[in-house]
Amino acid sequence: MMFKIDNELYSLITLFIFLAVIPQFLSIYNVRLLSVGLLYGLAAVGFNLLYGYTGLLSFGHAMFWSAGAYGLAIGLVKLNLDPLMSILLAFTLTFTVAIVTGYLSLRHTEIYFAMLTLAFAQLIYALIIKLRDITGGDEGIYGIPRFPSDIGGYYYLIYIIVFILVILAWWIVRTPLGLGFQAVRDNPYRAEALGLDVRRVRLISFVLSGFYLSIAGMLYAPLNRAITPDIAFWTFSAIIVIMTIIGGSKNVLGAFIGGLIFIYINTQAMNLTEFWQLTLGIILALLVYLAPYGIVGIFERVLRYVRGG
Amino acid sequence: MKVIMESIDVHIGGVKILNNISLNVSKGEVVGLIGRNGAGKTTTLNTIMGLVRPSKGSIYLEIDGSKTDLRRLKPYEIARLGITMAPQGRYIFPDLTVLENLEVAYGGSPPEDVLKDIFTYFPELGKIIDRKGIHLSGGEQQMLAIARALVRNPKIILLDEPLEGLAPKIVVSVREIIRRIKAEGIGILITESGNIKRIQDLVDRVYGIDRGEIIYSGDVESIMKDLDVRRRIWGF
Repeated sequence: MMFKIDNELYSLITLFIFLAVIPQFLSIYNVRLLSVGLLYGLAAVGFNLLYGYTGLLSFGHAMFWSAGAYGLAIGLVKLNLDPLMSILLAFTLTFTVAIVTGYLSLRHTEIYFAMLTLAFAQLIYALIIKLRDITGGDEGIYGIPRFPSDIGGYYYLIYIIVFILVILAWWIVRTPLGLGFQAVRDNPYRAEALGLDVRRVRLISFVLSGFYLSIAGMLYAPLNRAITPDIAFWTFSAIIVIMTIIGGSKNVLGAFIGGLIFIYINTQAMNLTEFWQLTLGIILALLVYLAPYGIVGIFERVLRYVRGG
Repeated sequence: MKVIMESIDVHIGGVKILNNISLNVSKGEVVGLIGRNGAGKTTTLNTIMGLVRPSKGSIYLEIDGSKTDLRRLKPYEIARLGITMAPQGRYIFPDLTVLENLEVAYGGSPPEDVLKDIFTYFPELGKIIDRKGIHLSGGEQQMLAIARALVRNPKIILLDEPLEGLAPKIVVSVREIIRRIKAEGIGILITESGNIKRIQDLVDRVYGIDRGEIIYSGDVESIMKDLDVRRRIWGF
């Protein structure tokens, strides 16, 4: 199969070259912030496979982030498993959650699908709170080991995995499977009449999307060295939606940029005022109002204008 | 190979849209379904494709005497059996290129020889394979809709008003393509609402449909002579 190296891939690679170099000039605090930015970017890219490419809005993707994070943390801290077995546990947990919730949620679409995913995510949140012996309840799990232990080294571990997965996402959306996602998004009835098993395509997209979030969660737990149930709460699902929309859901680049910069918008808003949520809300409302195709959409418009298009 | 509809009723939202429809189309023949707007032509095609479920009657695909009940199958399973459809309004996937639209319909990357065949039918499409669906003209969209239906190497193809809204020059091209599809031995069920002359020389026989009922079955010359059918379909 042939793929054309397009502007999006060039932009992604340029961005990743920048992300490889920039930590050398940043403080430890900012490298940590950038690490979270990379993970948010990965989460947004994963979420966007389902939302932007398959046309399904989930309000429950925090369940996958938490499945990855809790799966790994339980394995490493509670069960004293080696890292490989802990990762396997996290993947098994993610796969189970994705298949069960996907199978049940995908019987519906649009707002009903969104509400079902929200309900399942809240169910997972409730389980995390209630299963105190396993999950640590509302106190969470602390003392998660990190390798490499220094933030600088761990940044590059995150960087490599995120780079591979983001480029993989760019590739997936150009494969027949990814084209199937888009056909189902644009017109599920016609896609089915052309021979696509729409339900199966949606389930694959849901599970794949969940795995992206799960891997982001798995990398987040050691970065933070602790996890608490707020990563499973519905507000985190909303953040995943918001950062994808901020960057632009039309492509992989947009979603990644959205996730990457969200952490900075959030942190700056918190530093500026105690009414940071209000500030953040205004910034988001303005962005959505003025740039319906996200930040990448603004760049595209400017580029078209410069080229005289 | 033959698609057979027998005594099909379809209800949508409690309203009876198709009433006791029986028709058939075999591999290698072109069958017209003529009726005014709202007569039930598209619903008939959608019912064959499994996009609309009938409340009564049966639909079979008959191959060498063995029958497959299409009512039990989902649309994608019907498409994989070799029955495809180019819908009215074309429904091209707007963000996908011409080639990508074909890939979706093929279920993967079509081999070189398949693409070569398609672009022999539609040389215009071969020149714009990287153009997105949203940027195609009406004629190009129609050609792509038919190309998508052809790429799976179907045995029966359902064409819903393929000549509607096209410039006269494009109508000539699409008619020529339909002739060539027929020459390949593919069965065609083609609908037409307005001008029967556009398909008169393409079809082997026609059905007339009005208010969800088949009111005529026979050759195309006789339908024009049947005053009652003419009045019900064309109003004169």
